[in-house]
Amino acid sequence: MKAPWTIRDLVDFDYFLYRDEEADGEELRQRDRAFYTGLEDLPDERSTLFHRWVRFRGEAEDATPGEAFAECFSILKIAFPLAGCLSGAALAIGLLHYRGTVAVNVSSYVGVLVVLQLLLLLALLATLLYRRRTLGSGIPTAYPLLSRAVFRGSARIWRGSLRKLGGSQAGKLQSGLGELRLKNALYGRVIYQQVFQLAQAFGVLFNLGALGMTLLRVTTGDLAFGWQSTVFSPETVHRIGRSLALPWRWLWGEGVGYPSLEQVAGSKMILKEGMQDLATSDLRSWLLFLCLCLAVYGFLPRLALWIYAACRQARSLRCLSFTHAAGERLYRRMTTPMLESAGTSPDGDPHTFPLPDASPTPHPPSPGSPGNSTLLLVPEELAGELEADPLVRMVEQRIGRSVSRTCWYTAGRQGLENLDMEPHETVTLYQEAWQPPIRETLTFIKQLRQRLAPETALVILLNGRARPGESFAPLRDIDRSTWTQVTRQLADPYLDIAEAVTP
Amino acid sequence: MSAVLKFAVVGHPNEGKSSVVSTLAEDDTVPVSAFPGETVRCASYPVKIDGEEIIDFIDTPGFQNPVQMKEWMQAHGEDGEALMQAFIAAHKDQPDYHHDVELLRPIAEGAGIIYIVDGSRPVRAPDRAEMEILRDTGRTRMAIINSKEADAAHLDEWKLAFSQHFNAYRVFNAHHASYRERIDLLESLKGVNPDWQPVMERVIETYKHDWQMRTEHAADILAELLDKNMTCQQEKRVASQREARELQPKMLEAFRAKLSKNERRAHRRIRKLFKHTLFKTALDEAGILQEDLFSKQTWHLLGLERNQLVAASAIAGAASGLGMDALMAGSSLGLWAAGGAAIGAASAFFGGERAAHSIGKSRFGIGRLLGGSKVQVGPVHNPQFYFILLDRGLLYVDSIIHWAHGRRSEGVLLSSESGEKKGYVSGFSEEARRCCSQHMKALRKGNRQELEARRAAVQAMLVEVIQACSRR
Repeated sequence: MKAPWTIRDLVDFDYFLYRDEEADGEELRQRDRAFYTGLEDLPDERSTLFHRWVRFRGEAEDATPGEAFAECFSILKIAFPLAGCLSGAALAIGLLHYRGTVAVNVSSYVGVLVVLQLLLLLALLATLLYRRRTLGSGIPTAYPLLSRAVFRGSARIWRGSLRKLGGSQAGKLQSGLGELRLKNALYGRVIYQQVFQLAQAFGVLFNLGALGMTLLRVTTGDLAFGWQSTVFSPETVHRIGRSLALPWRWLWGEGVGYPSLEQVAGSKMILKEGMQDLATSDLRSWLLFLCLCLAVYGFLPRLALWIYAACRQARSLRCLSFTHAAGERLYRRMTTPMLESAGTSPDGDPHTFPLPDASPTPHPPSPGSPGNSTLLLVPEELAGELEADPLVRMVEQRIGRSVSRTCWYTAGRQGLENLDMEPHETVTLYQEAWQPPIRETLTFIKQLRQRLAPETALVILLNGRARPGESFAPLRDIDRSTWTQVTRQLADPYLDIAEAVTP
Repeated sequence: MSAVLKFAVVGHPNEGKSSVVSTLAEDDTVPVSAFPGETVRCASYPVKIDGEEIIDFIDTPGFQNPVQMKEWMQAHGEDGEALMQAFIAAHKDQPDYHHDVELLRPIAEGAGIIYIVDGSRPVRAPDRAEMEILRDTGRTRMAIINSKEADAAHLDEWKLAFSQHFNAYRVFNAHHASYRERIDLLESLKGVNPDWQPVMERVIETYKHDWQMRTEHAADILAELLDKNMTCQQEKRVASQREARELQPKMLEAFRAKLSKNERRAHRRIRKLFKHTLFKTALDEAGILQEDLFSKQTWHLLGLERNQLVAASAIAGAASGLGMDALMAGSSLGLWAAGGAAIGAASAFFGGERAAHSIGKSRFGIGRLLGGSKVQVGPVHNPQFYFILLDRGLLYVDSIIHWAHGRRSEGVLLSSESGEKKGYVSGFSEEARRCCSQHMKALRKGNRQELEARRAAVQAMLVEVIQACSRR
């Protein structure tokens, strides 16, 4: 059974991965391998495995960001519904203002509490449909059309500002933005659903507040409901009321669930004539209708949306595959055995030499887990400099996947079009790290990604400047940081960077 | 007034375009970064003669889409300026091509091309595309192999590629280029296009004159420093001899601080003379010049060897003895001169290498005055101090003229494990050392006429030393 992930766990997971980025690779391997081998029952699912890892890491911490998030969120979970309830009740008080001279205007009550909510609901449904069509593109917001327009406008200003900055500053800014987009691509849906659920909780309690206050005012006071119109006749108003009562008129018919034509005509107010001539029974005939309107068009849809959001969020959390680059690295650390060769120093103390690379142990593949082979892409111009066998051996060692085939591609548009690749095939792109990541290279990587299925791993294997007679070399620090920063701008969670030689 | 000769300095990102511009324009304020793509828009660095702009070096952003640019240009089927204008018009609103459009603009406006490559790396497809694009512009173009690293394994590969696409090429290290190499580069530019010849000749001639002026000025600053520090003395009135003795450490400290300050001020003037603003932070922090004037390391590495110092001091000592011989109208048969030489030599042998902390101490004196005492420190008579001052000055000049304006990294620490002297003066000819000794002696004697003559001689000698250093 899959582990029950929560947003708190995700926050912690992300935090631990972030901390591991700066840590020593060998120590990480030892720690995560020890955790993995120490598990009594190996879970089938990667998400369950990672969930246990988060708990394991959390045990060593006094406080985690996930706990802080959970605490803050628990306050929001109370504050939002409370604010909804109070605002609903306050609005109802305002609308039900009655001093015996002018009856409560049914049109205002229905207009504000029912029609307005219905319009918002329709806008939300349209948004949800739109999102379903354009899923995965852009930042999820409640009103994508508006936000898209805002983003386009701000993008122009943003680009203008970037041009004024030097390359390194602009790069850092874009890298930061890329990091945000990357998180959005990974967890955006879960976070969005959480916020959406919170907004629906507000809506549910808003309606409950308004309904409760209406019933309270009716129970504890004297209220009269009427309507005014210079244009509409009682027949029209009756027809509108009858239409609105469609969902319940099978249960509560005319005169109960909605006012009859006579009651409608009897509750029409003409201000210069006052209320003296209007029958009290007619003035009270709107009460149940108004309450049912609020319950059916306000409360129930919001409740349904709240339940929908809760279900969707649970599903999204269940469907997290954790096959993104950072997840892959963690998974490989866990499943790759630590090979050590022991020797004895002259003073007699045994010492061990951990070997940096080894193939991962076979592990039951989890759903969504990519296959264990990769397509290797190498620029054609390097064919004379790199020997195929050592290259393949190096890639298999460094990536932990077997190379299914090697493609020597030519630079330029034609080169990409000529590539023969499957959408679900993991791709390793060989790249000389000393070549600065120019726009053209990034465009090539983006186009490569577009030809792959969204969650397929794409690894950029960086090689340093090798000395004559050698093929592979470690990276310079500046090259490593440049490539890390630039690839972050791509905001691709399934894009990873590997190095040909251990630093 | 002739038209300004414009050169667009173009190339792949992070090849050192800004460093080359910085070095050629002698402007160390050009932003240079190890992070690729630091330059995002064209920046102009003009060379002016008497206020008139003659040459304009334009630093440009690096190529971002060379292969796609080449494909587009090949498909477009035009050539020269029309091709560039068409490319700019088609791509000016595309953010991905911002750098490419920006770098093509000055070329489209008629600028000559200086293409920079890092010769320590192999030629790749984007480089070939860039070279083809530049060839298709039809502009006069010269390539510079800016070998950022000492590795020259790919130099021949680059030279072969350049021979197909460029009018000329030259190896030029923007981080270590000397004055001579800068002139040589300008000479190469002159030969690339006959139209550029008159302007380039004028610029080169002006550069040479300017350099000569700077050399003479630097020698003057150093000679002035020697004058100032070798005659420097400080006095103070005190109430009693006891107070004078208590004051000794403070006075010595202040005296040395004064000598150091004079030296720093002279170095600053030299730095300004050679148009450096970042030099202090870049080199001083790592080199021997960061060492204090009176540090053990400085006195260990710089100045004259003991035997050289003995000879120099003997000359100086004999010079003072000659004065006594003259007073006795030669009746002493030169005994005073011989005695002075012997005393000078002996003091140099035993005290010439005296630790730096003794500077000023031997010249600390307390004189009786009416109503109190006078304390005096200096002037320094230790001949090694003269040579160390000179050595540090020459090292500073040497470092600064070999520190290209495009260089931003740290200097190299001068050290000696063998105890050998590492400065300039230990390599001076006997004549040069004699010249210095005579100057030193004249400073001691204080005869103005003689001092001016000796100073002029030292200055002329220093000009020669700096010129030799520039040629290196």
